[in-house]
Amino acid sequence: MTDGLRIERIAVEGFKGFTNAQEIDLRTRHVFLIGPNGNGKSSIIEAIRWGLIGSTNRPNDTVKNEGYAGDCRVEIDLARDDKKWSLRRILIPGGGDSRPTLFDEDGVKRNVRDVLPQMDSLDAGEGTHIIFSPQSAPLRRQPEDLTPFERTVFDHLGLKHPRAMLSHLETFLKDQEQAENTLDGLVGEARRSIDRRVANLEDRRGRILASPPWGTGHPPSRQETKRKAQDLIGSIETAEEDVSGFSLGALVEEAELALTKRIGLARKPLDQKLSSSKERLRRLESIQDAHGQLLDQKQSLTVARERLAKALDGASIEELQERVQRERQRAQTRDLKQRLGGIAIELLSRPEETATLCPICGGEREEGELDERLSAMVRVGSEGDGSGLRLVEDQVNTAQQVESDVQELARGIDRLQSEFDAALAAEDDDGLATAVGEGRMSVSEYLKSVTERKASIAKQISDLDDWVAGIRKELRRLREEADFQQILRDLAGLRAIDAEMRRVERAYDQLVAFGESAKDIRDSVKATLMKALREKTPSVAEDLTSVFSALTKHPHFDRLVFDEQKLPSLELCVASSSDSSGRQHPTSVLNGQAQSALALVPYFALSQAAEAPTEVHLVLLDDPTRAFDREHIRILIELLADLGERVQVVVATQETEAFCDLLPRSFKRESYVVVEPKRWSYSGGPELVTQYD
Amino acid sequence: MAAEKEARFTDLVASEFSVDQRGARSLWTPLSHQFDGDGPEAVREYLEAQRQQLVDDVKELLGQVKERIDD
Repeated sequence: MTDGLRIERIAVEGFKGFTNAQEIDLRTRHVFLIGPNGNGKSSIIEAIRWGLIGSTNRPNDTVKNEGYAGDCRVEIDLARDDKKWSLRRILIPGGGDSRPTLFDEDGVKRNVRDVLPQMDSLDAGEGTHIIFSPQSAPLRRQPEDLTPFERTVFDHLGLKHPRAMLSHLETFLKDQEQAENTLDGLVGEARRSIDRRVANLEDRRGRILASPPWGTGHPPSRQETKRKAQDLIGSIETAEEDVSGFSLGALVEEAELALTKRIGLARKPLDQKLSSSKERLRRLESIQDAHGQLLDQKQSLTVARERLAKALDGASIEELQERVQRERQRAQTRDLKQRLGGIAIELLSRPEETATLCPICGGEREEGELDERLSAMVRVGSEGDGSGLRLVEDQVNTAQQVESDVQELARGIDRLQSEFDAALAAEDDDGLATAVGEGRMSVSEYLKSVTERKASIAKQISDLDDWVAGIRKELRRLREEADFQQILRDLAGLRAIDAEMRRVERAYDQLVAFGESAKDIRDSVKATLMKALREKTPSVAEDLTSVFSALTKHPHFDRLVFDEQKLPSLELCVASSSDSSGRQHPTSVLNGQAQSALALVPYFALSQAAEAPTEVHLVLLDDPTRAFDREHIRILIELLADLGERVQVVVATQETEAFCDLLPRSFKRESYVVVEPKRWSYSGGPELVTQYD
Repeated sequence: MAAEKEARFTDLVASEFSVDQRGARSLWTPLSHQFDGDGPEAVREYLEAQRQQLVDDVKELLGQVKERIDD
């Protein structure tokens, strides 16, 4: 055994199920903790581990027995050669941290780092110096990407640091890749954004240069463009504003505003006047139409009156009506005569009548005379057919109709005259309408006057529009010129940003180069590690094989080898001496007992351990005989006896009967001690009973 | 002795890992622990700090560029 520290005593108080302080004498090489599950065996294993390195298989803030009012503490007495120390660890109340304190044999407080520098630097877990076999595999803490087995082997091979370095570098490179990808996206996006803006500005600059607003020659300077803008504003504004301090953009905006203002001032009244003139013209055209109608009506009235005079033919209507009356009477007389003549002729034509007697008057007449007189009567009747009467009646009717028309026309003329007079009266145009109303000016002249006025206003508007169009054209040129100046300025700004962006890209390139260097370092470390592993793992495999064969005596798989394809991961395979080609993963070919034995192999094989001096050589085995039959328990105990020659061994087992039976056969009485936690109670915790024989 | 180790280390890193002399010298302090067989954690912390510095540099410069672009 190398000059490691030896544990001589452990005192446990308030830790897990423990209450009042209890002690175990560990001065022998082997300590066996026996008894059924739940009595506190594993808690003792855990207490040793926690006392030495402050780590257990559960979080620190849960190691205290909350039902115990005192402290949670573990005190471990250590000895090396003729020197002794006492390491005391106490849980700091209110947190998960614990504090170790070291005292020398004189009770003087010593710095832990000074006395136990290696142990003080141990990771919170297994280390080179302490090999710990946990009871339950799922509870194993596996820091980073290494299994406890691998860490044990790397410790054994003295490759702990290179392996940790490789692990750190792999993790580092993953993070590096992620950082590079994230920044690559951001940097690329910014670069594309700048390039897009530059291309856009150069395109706009090219388009302006293809048809420059300043005409031929070199592009104007910014000052020249500003002077143009100031001149333009001066030509627009009547009352010039002081724009000398304005920027170019502000000047262009000011020119726009001035033009808008000028248009508002000049154009609106003109538009209103034009609109008003148009409206008046429309009204006057209506008046003119009315005036025309009036004249037409008056003409019609004259014609109607002439027709009336002609119809009356010098008479009045009343006279014509008397003539009608007379004509009617005459017509009645003629009608009577005709009817009488007809009756007389009819009577005379009768044979019994005397042809010479007048049937009307009874006088005797010559036959011929009578016929002639009667025929004359009839003729007179027939001659008076009433046409004269109809002529007179027609004349009267016509006269009455014309008379009615004349009256209607007169009324219409009165109405039109009134409307015309009212329309003229509504116009207010410096007395022109009045002149028309009073007959001093004709309507046509009046209309002509208004039309001329409208044309004058329209001309003013047109002139203003032409002027505005000209100014707008100038403004467009000015704006384009100002755009050009702004493009030049933006391009200059972007060139400065581009220079900054190149600094960003250089910084990013440095990050990438840094990552590449890290990859080189990783590759170098890995190559070194792989070389060492290829050299050293075969001898480790032989050591492991030796213990595995002794523990299992497996009929076929009698070799353990490392899978070279998996290096630097250390993956054990089982193989057969009789079959060099076949390698199998243990879980696929070994039964439960052989697998449990395999889990113990590193602790036996590698406990001879490090070449470097170590501080504590201790093997903690919690329930190592799961699934073991009695024969394999016997083999294990023999191996433990051998292991005890090199390291201090603490074993917890529930195989009480087998161990109590087999231990005396393999160990000298003074070389081991059996501790049995008994009479466990919630308030008092376990009571430890030590059997020295 | 320390200077001699540093020079040896710097040459090694510069030639093997494509890191320039200045970078190699800056790697020396943390890697010297590893070089003495101690402290891979220190190396990792150093590398992460270096990277963080580089990432921060890129982000800071990029932030300035973006700010100017937005202006």
